[in-house]
Amino acid sequence: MNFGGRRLYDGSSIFDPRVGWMSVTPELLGSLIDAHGAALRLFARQWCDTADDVVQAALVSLARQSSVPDDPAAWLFRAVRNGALSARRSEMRRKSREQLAASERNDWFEADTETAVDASAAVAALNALPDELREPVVAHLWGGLTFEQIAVVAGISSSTAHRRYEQGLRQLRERMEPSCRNKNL
Amino acid sequence: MSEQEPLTPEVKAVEAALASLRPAATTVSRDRIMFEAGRAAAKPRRAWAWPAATAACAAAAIWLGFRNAGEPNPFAGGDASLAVSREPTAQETNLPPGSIAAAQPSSPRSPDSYLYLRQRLAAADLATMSFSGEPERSLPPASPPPAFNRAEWLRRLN
Repeated sequence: MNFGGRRLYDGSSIFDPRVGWMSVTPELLGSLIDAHGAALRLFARQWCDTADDVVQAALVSLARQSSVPDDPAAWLFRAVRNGALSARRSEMRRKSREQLAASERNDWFEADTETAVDASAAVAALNALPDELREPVVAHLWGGLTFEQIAVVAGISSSTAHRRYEQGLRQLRERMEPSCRNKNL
Repeated sequence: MSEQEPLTPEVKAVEAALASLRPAATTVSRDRIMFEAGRAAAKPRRAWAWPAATAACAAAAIWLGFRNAGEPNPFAGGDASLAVSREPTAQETNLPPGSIAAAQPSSPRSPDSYLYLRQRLAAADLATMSFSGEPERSLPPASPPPAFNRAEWLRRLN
């Protein structure tokens, strides 16, 4: 990706042999927000309510880095993961379980009637998944991360990430079968 | 990925159906992020350096204070290990009794040193003084200055 004569994030490592590692520029931040903003928010939303704050903190933290990480997308997802888990611990202290269940409103996906599945049913099914199965599904399906990147983010092997992804999809299929039948899937 | 088994058609169908959902857009303000990033970049990154150095120096001072608290003060009470005893030199033995040099046992050994020359001058031994390269004259030791009493002073002044 080129913008204004500068090489921006294109999903690969940002290393220019002429100048070394690029520093985090506003253009790079903007391109990362465009490419991963919604996915990062969804990735954080699976753990906490304050997803936007977590994403913003991760982007600001990236901007403070002296050099661009080897894989900015994986770095951001990992930073968002850490921030979201920390925010969830804070929320758990503040809220009771009933309040947590009441706060699980459908702000995960766009309210679009043209989708093959009901968004609310998908959110309910995703919420019912264990964290270790939901994380690779969200990261791969909507975040666009490879299983190698998910392995880096979650601290597991890529084969484990793939196995959990497949297992998560199987469980989602079982939970969403009624809504899929309603949508004539 | 090569060792990973391909997904079954049923799972692929669920995958495709879920992929049709679009994540809700983030409400993060790009301007806000740029502002926060700029403000963060303007902050000094090593603001902890000086406090850490100050804390380390304070800790070292406290540690040294406790470490030396139990040891005796070498400058109080006269430590015998620090006392220097030596025999008087030949020149010092020729000084008249009661002179300044006799009262200062730690006069330097070198005949050209300032303290030694000053002691000799105070003892009115200028005639017998020798300097570097000059052989020392063997004159009899000077007699002590006459002791004047009040009547003698009045007589000389008149």
